[in-house]
Amino acid sequence: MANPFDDENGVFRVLVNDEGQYSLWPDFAPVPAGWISVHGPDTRAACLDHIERHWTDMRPRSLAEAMRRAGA
Amino acid sequence: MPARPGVQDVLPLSPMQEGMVFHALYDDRARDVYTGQLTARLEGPLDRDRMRTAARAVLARHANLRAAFRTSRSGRPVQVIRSEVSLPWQFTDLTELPPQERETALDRLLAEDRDERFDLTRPPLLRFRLVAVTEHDHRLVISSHHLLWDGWSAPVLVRELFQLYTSGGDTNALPRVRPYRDYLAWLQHQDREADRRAWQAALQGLDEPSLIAPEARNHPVGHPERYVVELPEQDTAALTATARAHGLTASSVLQGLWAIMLGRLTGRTDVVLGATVSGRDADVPGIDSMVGLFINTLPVRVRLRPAEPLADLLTRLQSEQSALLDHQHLGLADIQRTAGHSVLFDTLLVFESYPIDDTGIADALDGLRMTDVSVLDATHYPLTLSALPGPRLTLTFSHQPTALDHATVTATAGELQQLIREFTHHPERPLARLDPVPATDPPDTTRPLPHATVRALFEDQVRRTPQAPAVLHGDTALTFAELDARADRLAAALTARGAGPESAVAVALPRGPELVTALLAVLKSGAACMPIDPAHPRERIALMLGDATPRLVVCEQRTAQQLDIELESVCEPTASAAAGERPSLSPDHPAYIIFTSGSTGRPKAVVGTQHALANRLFWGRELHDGTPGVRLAKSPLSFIDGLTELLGALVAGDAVAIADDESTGDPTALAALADRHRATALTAVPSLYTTLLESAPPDAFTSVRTWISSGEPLTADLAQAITDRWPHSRLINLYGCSEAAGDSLTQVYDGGEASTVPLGRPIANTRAHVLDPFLRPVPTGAIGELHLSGAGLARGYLGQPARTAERFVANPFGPPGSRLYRTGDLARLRADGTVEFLGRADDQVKIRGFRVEPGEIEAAARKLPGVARAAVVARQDGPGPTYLVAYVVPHPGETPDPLSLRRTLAERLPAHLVPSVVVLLDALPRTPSGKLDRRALPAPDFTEASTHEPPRTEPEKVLCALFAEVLGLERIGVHDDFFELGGDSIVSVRLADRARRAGLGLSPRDVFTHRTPAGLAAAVSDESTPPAEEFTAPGTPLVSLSAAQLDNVKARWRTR
Repeated sequence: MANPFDDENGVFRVLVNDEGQYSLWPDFAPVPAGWISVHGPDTRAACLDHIERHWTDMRPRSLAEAMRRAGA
Repeated sequence: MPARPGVQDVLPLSPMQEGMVFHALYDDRARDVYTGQLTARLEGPLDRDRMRTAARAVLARHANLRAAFRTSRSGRPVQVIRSEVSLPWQFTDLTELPPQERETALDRLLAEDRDERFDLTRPPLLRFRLVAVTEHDHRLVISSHHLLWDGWSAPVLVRELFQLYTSGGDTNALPRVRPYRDYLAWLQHQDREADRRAWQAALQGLDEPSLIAPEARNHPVGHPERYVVELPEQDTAALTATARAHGLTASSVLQGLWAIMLGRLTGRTDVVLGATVSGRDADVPGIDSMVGLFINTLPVRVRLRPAEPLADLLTRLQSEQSALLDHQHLGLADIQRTAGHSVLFDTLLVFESYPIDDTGIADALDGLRMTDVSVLDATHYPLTLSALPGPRLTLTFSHQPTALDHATVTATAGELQQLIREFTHHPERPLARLDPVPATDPPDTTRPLPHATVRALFEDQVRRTPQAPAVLHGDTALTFAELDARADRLAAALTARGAGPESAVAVALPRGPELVTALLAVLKSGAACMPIDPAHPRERIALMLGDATPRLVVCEQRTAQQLDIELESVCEPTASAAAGERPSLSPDHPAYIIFTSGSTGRPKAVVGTQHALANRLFWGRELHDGTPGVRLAKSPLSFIDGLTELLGALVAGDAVAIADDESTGDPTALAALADRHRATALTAVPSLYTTLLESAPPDAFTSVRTWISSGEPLTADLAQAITDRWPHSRLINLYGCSEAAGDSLTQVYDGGEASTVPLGRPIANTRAHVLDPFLRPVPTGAIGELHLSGAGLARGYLGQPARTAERFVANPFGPPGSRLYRTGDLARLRADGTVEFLGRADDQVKIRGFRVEPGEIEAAARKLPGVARAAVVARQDGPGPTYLVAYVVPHPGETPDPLSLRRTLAERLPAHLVPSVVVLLDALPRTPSGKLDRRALPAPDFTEASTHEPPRTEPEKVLCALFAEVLGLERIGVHDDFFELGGDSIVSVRLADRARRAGLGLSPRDVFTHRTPAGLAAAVSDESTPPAEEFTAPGTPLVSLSAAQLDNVKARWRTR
């Protein structure tokens, strides 16, 4: 069965939520609530590359901030 | 062929006739669905004899109505036209019956008539029946085999019949008949090659057929059920107007919408439906007024593109179809062959455009009126949609009830109507944004989670039952309080050495109380625990440690040495420190790091959160039957199921009885352990259940109250066998994965499942979504990919943001900003929200419950010397268990030894990833579309690995015979290796069982150790053989076991 996320020739976006988590997202589908598009439409490879470069801290943002406050 | 007396002609069959003959002969006892019934209501004065004369004249007029269907001497089916046949005519008088009984009697008569088969060799394949309901109300019933005529012939036939009635049977009043033979002759002259090329092009690259009821072929075809929908007049007008505005025919619109529907039902974006064409545009003069079978059933292939506007799709479809107009006479069987598929579709769309309410007929009959004509016919397809145009478009859904239930069909009809509305209102909308029919509300699984970290949850249990037993192992027993104190001391040592939230601590200990203490200590420190099986190949452990870079590794010194772990990161399980301040712990911090098989050739690490694991464990209390018990912990800890089994028992107040590695797969040893500790709960994969049922002692496991199955589909037969054997226990099926804290769906088996026990319904704070390729919920009963959302979702894959972002994706169905996990499992939903498993969307397989990515093994195989290409597949040949086969293509000029390739793989991969056999091929077979053609891969020949050396002693002879029996091979040599002949852990249990019955005391472990009939015979006969050494971490090398063998024993079983 075809999954749109695995479509090597598909057109994608990169979405980010408030927690700084990233999601690959097929361009044909409406962007779900709570997510914004930060890259694309673009190729799958380019979107994944964008994610690889920008999502450097995989902790949820609220957790990272709480840790920073606790450490400070 | 010379004409025989009475034989007027011998003709070939049209392609459609060939198909129908096949279906009629396929099962000559079942009902022949291609028996049609035309009923006309005649009101007014009727001359019955005159009608009979008219019928006789029709039969005399059309030679093809006198056809019998036979096979010629050369094996080809032919139609033999008789010069004369007598007219089957029956008159039934219902006027004698009380008026209120006549309708019922008529219905019964019609039904019986429909059920009466025609013998294809005895013409004519039709019969007339005249039924008098009252003096002035008759029914004329013409039953016939569909081989004779199609729906488009019906108006012609009825008109002729009444003209002949008027003329008193004088055929001179009618124009000369253009014989069916002319059409057959025309067919013979068509350019078949050009036709095949056109169809080949149309179906190029199609991977799979579009079947909504793939199992329907196993059921006999029966009476179809009908569900009729009439589109309101206004909607019909809107549909017609929108179609016209876009230059579309109503037929194209319905085909396109049906294709979208089919996409939703099959989860595919490249779909094929069947469509019936009239065939009357053939270049045969007068074909419009001919009686015969001209229709053809053809595939309509539709590629669905998510971003394409609906109207554009329909326009594209219409133009793709028009390119095939000149090739519509090619038979379906021929088209399927050309496309390389044995079947293409199982749904049929018939656009009827032959209304029979011909007022001209009525005028011809003085006083007699034909008020109602209905044609009942059927197809063998699981679902046929017939569209009848008119002021109100009539959609008739005929379905085979054994293949599709009524609820599914009505839901499908509702969706199609919704699509029609979408087309008339929003033809510009892209496919992926069409409004689906609102799905039923998912079950509400919201539950408060009072303790959102694992340590809080465990410590809560310690407070409740401090003196209850928590760990049982050999003669050791620890209470909850003791276990807690030990874990606190080690946790303090870990904290003192820098472990804490957002760091990882690996645990590589043998199965025992120290392992439990260490896992809890890591969780108490706030670090993520990363269980490592010390028996895995060194290379692989090094890779995992390299990826996860744990702050510390809890292990014994000898393990550290063996695995080359730097001293400064080793923490011995006995370490302790004074309790200090414990770092605060957020539910969002990681709780576990678990490696799973990775499709790209490397294992990948799932990072799961405290909240996710605590939610799964807390839900486990719901699963519990309320009375403290003992759970047998026997699943390998390096898998998520091992963690949830052990921690799940503890947080629910159960004691864990820890099974040694060697017991985990041996029914006798497990039974002894369960008996010793009076175990009340046990988790196993279905393949182990099979073994338990087969080989466990008769009175074993009587203390068990809860059986849990997970890891693989649980067949209904197996589930029933388990509950039959242990009727006082309950059986629970769990479904889940490391990415969602182990378990997400649950089903208590209560009998009554047809084939497989469903995966069940979501656990607490979890939702299951079955989505189509456009990420929309599929209709109830349709196949889609299972996605999970809710509390159980992991943070992602360690150090792999891109991989995480394509697997854990934005959730359109949950709270803003939430995520969905794509499981890769195919599933369908029942109306009550229960999920059924239907296979994998990708290549991942399960071997004895282990998750296996063939890609990972392929990558390892390609690194072997002399290997150019590799494909790994899971096979199940015969009734035996599923096993892995590596097919390798060597570099040109090289011929590597398959046995040594397999041995090298066994040194590099954990045992559940080691193929049972390596097969050399010259090339990997490909499908027409370029993919690996799995069906063309040869079954491995295990006898090639045999030395065929004959047995020398009686025990050897017995063992050779037993090897042959359990492996399904003819002859076994005494030095043949059990595992190189396709044996595995499951078969080893069977072998040991048979050997014991034959008086040779062997355990499954002996099979792993000694492997050959000669070796095993020596082991049984040698009385001085020392008892099996303690089977723990391989700190000291055992003479008789290589690392790979050890690995085999311990990891071949994933015993949950």
